[in-house]
Amino acid sequence: MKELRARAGEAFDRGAIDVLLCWRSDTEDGKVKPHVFKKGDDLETVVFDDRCVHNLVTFLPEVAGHNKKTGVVLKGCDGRALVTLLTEKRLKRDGLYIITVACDGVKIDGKTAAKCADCVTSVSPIADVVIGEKKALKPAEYKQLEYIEKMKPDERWQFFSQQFERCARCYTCRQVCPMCYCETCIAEQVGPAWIDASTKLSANTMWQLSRAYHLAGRCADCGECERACPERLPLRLLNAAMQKTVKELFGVVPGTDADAQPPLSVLAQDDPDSLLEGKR
Amino acid sequence: MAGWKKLAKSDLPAFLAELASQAELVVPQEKNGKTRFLPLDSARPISFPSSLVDVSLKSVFFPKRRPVARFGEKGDSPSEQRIECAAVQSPFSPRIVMGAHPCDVSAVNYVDRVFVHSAFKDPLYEAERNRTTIIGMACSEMKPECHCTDRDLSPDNERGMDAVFVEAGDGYLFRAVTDKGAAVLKSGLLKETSDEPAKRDWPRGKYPVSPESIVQSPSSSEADPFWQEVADLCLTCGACTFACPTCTCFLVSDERHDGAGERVTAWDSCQFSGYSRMSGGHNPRKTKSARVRNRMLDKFVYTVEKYGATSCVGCGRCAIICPVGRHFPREIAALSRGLSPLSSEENGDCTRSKRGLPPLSSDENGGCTRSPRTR
Repeated sequence: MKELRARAGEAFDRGAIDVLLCWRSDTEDGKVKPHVFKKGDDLETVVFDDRCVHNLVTFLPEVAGHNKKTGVVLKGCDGRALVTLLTEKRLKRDGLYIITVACDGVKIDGKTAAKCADCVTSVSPIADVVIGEKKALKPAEYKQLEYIEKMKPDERWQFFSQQFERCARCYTCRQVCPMCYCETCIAEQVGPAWIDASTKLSANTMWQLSRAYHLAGRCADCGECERACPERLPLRLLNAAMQKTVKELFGVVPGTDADAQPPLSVLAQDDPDSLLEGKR
Repeated sequence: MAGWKKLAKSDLPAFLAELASQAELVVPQEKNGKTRFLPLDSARPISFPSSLVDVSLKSVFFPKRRPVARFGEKGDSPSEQRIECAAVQSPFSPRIVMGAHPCDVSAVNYVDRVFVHSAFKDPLYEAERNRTTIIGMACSEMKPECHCTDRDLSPDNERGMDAVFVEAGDGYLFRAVTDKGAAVLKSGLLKETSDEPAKRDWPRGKYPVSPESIVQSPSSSEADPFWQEVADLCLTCGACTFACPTCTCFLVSDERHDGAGERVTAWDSCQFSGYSRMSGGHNPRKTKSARVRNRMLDKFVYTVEKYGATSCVGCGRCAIICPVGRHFPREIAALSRGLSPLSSEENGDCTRSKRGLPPLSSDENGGCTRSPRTR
């Protein structure tokens, strides 16, 4: 944490950044929260520890949109999300100053977050400053899917129906997701209304499956949707199922390679045709 | 009104069974990791929390999804085809809600202003209210985010309740507040007692707010840069609005499949970009900062203009639920003190008298009032 504060202070001093998007320890309620530090702010409340659950990349387009030089502090999974946004040209690399700190896992309600068991990188794949040790990527194994894959199709349907029934359609999952940046979400389109607006099971299912499909080849498994959901829906499962399929078809683990193209946005000669051939 | 009666803790299950035999009984129960108001189900653990049920009472009267009419195509031949539509009938069977704390009951009283005592009456909501007797529960503690005492309420306030009970040692003390409440407290399990709940002095001054000073604050102007600062770190998701016991916005949608369907109301949120979008595409609150500002001012300024009362009851659920740790009560209190809501002023001593502000007036339905502002 000392090194992070020092490197952040130094970046402010030499004019590399105008603002720093980082976690702050709130002195009033003791919670760790996203914060935009400005030049001259006291950096003593800058914090990096296992309470830094938020993916700050979610806020980055907005903050970088009205600041010239934006610094941002990222964990490994956050960095993966940023890589995807850069490859999708949602953000420009120029003007970003990326500090990544090696993450040993974060805690939610006092327990190590489930996503951390499936972590592939402790640091951001792209960075200007790396604090801590940069280790080799771990393979993406999608172990969280094991118990779902063991279920029979009708059991699986029943399991997810029970989950989706609780969805309040507050769209916290969408808003907290760095990948959900559509100006008009499919859920808000009214002509035609693709998804009924109310919370009936069919519409909730349609909403959650639509969102999962839109994350295929993009989700960084930062787990924010699942953490933020007021009804605690196991949303990472859907995303992981998508990413596992993308990995099998295209060999891509989203956000791990800064030079890769988004797998579903480019057409390659050797793309698999298994769907057309009726094999899947 | 009437004096207190005592129920032994061991008699609680029998008392609940008696109530359930008279009416549909709704009590706080734990489901999917949260306490919520649900129809009594013996399979679920009942809990009467000492303060604040996790999910507010709002959905009991105003569900997330609510059919208001059903329609379908009738007639076989094309010349005879017509669409028939029927309004959903209002429910009338009696219902008892037990265990609602003062903030939740006061919130329902506010919602009454919107759906009953307004130009646009909601008959289904009104029927839900009329069929329900509320046995409120006085809180025996204030949780970290609780600040009802700064919203003209207190943990033992009985306003809006038909009857009230409070945990006291080896039992519960009950008292009727209205005739409707007296009618559900006739059980022989309730014994006469000279016991009374201990009067307590509850702390105040955590997040005091004065609507007048918000309006006067230069920061409340739309042009003030701090709205952008707040918006930068707000997701504008619907978590706080859905958790809020006084957020009443809804949309109306016709959900039709294969020629038949329902017209439903569904919770909407002023934080959604589509909320203020008009036909033709114009959106007067297109930016996040405009939406964030709307919600903050709505609770203490706009609802006073529209319904004659502020609409924050100090339950703190918005601060508890916010996935990014935004603290609405603290932000609005800072705005009221003429500070930027994001300022991290450490001095928490900001009581009204210290700032030389007059006390807020109140009316019988709760909430701070001021005369509607002419535009």
